[in-house]
Amino acid sequence: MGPGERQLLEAARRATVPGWAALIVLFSHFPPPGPRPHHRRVARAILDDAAQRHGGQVFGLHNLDLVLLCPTATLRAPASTRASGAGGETLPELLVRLLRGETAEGQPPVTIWQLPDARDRLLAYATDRLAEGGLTPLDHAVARAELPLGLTAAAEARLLPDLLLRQTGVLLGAGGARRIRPLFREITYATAALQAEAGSDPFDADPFLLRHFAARLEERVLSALPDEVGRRGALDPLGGPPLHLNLAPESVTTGAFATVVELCRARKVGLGVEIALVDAAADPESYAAARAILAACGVACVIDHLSLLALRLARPAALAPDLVKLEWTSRLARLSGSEARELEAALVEIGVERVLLIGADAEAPLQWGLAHGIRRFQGRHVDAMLAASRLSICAQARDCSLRQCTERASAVALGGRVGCRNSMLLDAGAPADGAV
Amino acid sequence: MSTALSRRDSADDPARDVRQGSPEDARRLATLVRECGTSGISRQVLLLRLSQLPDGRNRPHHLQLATDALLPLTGAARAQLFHLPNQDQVVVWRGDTPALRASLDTLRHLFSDDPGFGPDPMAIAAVLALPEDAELVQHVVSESLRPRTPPPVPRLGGQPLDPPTLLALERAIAQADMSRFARREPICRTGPDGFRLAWERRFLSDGELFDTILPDRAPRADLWLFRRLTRTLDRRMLSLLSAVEEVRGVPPFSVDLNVASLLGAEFLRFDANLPTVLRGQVVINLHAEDILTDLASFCFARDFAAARGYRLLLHDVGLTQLALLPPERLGFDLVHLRYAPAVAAAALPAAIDPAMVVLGNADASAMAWGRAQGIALYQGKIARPPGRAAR
Repeated sequence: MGPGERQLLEAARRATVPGWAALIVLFSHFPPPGPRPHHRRVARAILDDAAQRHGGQVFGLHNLDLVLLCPTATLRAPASTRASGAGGETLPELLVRLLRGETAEGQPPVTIWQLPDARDRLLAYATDRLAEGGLTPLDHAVARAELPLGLTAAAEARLLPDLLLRQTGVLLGAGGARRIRPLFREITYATAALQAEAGSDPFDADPFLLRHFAARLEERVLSALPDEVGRRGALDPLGGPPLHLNLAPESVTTGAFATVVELCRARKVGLGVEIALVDAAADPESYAAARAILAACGVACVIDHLSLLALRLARPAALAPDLVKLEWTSRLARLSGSEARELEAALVEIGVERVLLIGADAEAPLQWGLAHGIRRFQGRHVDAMLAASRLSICAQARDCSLRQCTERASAVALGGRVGCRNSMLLDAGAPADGAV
Repeated sequence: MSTALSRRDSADDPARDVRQGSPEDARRLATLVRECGTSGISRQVLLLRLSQLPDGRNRPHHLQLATDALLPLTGAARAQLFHLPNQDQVVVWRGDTPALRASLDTLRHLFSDDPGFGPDPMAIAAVLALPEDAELVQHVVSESLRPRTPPPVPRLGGQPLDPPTLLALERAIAQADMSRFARREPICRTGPDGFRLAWERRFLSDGELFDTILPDRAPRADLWLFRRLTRTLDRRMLSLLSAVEEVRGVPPFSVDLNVASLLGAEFLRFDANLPTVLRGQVVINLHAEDILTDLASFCFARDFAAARGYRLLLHDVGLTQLALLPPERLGFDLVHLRYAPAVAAAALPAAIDPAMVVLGNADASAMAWGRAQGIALYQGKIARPPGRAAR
């Protein structure tokens, strides 16, 4: 417990005068992983400002909630300092608008108790908080992501395969008996492995670091690939559906990429390049050059990691991609009427046949995607479907479990594939005309 | 962009400059060649390999004359001209045409005035057919896209940052006196009386800073480590601006920030100390790659900033980024459009309100283009209010 709880309890005991209210910002009700530090920091600043201008006192509690005890006039006064637009917005309205996207469905981020009617409720709330353990967070503390210097060495040296994973994108047939056809095998960095190697999680506080390390890894994959041809490892472009590499646009204009293209062309194997939306936007000249090179070489150009928010705010169709990877979120299934119309318009602009849903880790994304005309998927549920189709025909799968087959298929490091006696089928993703 | 051939387009152009090639044209050509291959559609192709001209024969007037030699093909059916990035040009059309002979004759005469020195016309101009020669045409497209020189490093001789160096740099910046690197740059509005100051952009001159404390490195060469570094610079800039004397009696201003900085403790202190007279007069400049890195935080920061009376500006973008990131859809009040030759060749997208545009890198030609588009706000060497020099 901290001073906030004790002060709130004392203030609640004195709250007997009509015309006061308690506004509680319910950060403790936010779904896991909870509010981000800036949510609470900014909310605190807004509450402090309102209390200073119109009267009131702010309490920061260890369960992350913030409480403003103030005259009801404070809650009716304009919270915005802007002359127009949102100028008439009250403090509760502003907080709800800022935080509404962060709470669970149907859960308001803010509650208001009128005093003294709700004084007992406030007393009970303050008493409960006081009885709980924990330290009150420092509202103005800012998490500084330390530079994970150890990761630099790992990204540059021996640990390359351990930091990568492989996942297969598939085309699902419509109808009752679902057909699954592998479209490509994507080589990408394993975020969890990167975080483990970093020794902490600096990427949430500083996503630029993740982009930096991902770019270094991707360059290393590109330069390592020629040596992998014909070695029947996870990075071998032969013997399976086309390999998809994640690259920054500038990497596509290098000689290393031209070498890989020539190798694949000579062996008549397919290749695709996945470019993160943020990389394409950061360097549009390089992206334009990369897009042209890929078109000239007949290599698929994929725009990766398109969130629902990005789909609503940006126009990925302007990048003329061959494929767009849309990230699944359960929000997709709960869109309002206008949001759903916006989404439909965006999908139409891209072309639904160019959309692949990633994060298909359960049946729900597949059902949602198929209902919206999307037939391309990637994710852990898809991995399991592929493994099931392999196990159903694999003559060497005497004692292999579904989980083992799934994990071996996603491993890039040699050790992760140990135990599989049919690597040809493992790398193919699924038997021809695999049905699940 | 590829264009249908038109004699009028070129002959009436007073500048008569050979147009810069573009990767976009290369991509379109590659797509066309591939489509011919898959659908069996026949097309004729004239490759004009201007990139193969020897030194001394590749000056602008040579290139212009060679380009003009393509004009007889104007009347060919479904003629399309593609300007490749290495200055090669490709014409694709349907069916036989006598214009081809006229073009080839012109090219032969053009390069035959100095036998033994000039290029072989047959090596400069090649006639091909699709889909039979698709592979060769694709090869030419690929060649045109290969960088002739290594990727440019922003500062000569500098190595990109690496994490250990960045760490040292961050520590140095945290302790350095940053006030000597603080700069102001006017953003001006045009009016009947010339330029008037709209606001000042206040920033830290990172170039001078790096020259001082890390002269052998090129911090901008690694985009993402540089962006991380800008967060440290943001904190120092906000710390400077939190001093009363920095914001008392000053004109409206803008400041470059990252989204994370806009949500940080230093900004909240700055906001709490902002004089009432400046409330609603401060513009926050944000970068495209920063907002896309964490769009959810951007939306939160955008709404918070608007509620506190700040205007948001999408900073330093080109037309491609404008198409990808419509500023109004993102909720920006302003957009800083970087003027460049590619901008001059186009029009401001119809969806963009000229009133929200600040035209950057403004010189005389940018002004002419901007005025034609209805743009009133300018930044650059030409945009100086009367009696005021850049500081």
